[in-house]
Amino acid sequence: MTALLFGEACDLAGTRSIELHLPDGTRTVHGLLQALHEAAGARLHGKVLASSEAGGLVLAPGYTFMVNKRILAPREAEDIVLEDGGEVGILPPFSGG
Amino acid sequence: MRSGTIPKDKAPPFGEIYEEFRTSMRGHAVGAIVTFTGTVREDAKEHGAGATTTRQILIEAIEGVSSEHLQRIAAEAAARPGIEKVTIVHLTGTFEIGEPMVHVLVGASHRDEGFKAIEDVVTRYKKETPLWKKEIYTDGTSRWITH
Repeated sequence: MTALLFGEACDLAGTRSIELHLPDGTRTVHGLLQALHEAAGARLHGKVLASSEAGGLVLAPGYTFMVNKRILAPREAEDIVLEDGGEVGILPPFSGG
Repeated sequence: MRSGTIPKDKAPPFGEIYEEFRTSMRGHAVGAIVTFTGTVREDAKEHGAGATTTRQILIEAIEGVSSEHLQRIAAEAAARPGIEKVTIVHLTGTFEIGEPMVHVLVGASHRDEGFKAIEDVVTRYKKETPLWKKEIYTDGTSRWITH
C-alpha cells in the first residue's frame, strides 16, 4: 500500500510517497493512518494527523482521502476496504490560485 | 482549449486561449465574454518576529484528477441558462509576482449571466478542486495557504 502525500503533507513528510504494510484485516483508512503514524508520525502529527476524542487517529480538519482517484471525506472513506498494493492520497485542504 | 491544469511552461498565452474560446462560439447566441485571471500578488505578511513579502507562489495539482474536477465545474456552469461555454485553465509550477496562475472564460447571452457565472465558477474551483498554493517569501520562509 502506498500513501501519496500532496501539498503541505508532502513537505512535512519530506517525500511524495510512503510505502506501508497493512496486514490482512487492517486495510482500511484507519489502518492506513495507524501505519502512516508509525512510519512518519513525528513529522505529521498535529498537522496532517490528529488524535480523535476516542483516542484513535484521524486526519486533521479539512484533509481528505483519495481512493481510486475519488476524493472522499474521512467519514465517506470509513467503510472502504483498500486494495492490497493500491494507492491512497492524503490531501490537504484545497487552495487554488 | 479544454478545461484543466497545465504546467506553466506549456501554457499558451492568454491571448491565444481567449481567441480560441471566442472563435469557437461563432454563430452562437453569445453577447458577452467575461474573463477572470488570477495573478500573483505581492503581499506583506506578519511573520514571526517581523514582516516579509511574497516573492513567488507554487501551485501543485494532481495530474488528471485536478483537470477532471475543473472540467466538471466548467460543464455544470455551462449548463446554466444563458451560459454557452465555460473554460477554466489552471497553470501549475512556480510563479513570480504579477504572473497569471489561472484563467476562467465564460461565454454568456448577456453580461449579467456571465458575471454571476464567473463568480460562482471561481468560488467553486477554489473550494472543490485538488490544488494547493504555497507562498514563498522574500525572507526565505514559506507557507501553504488554506482558503
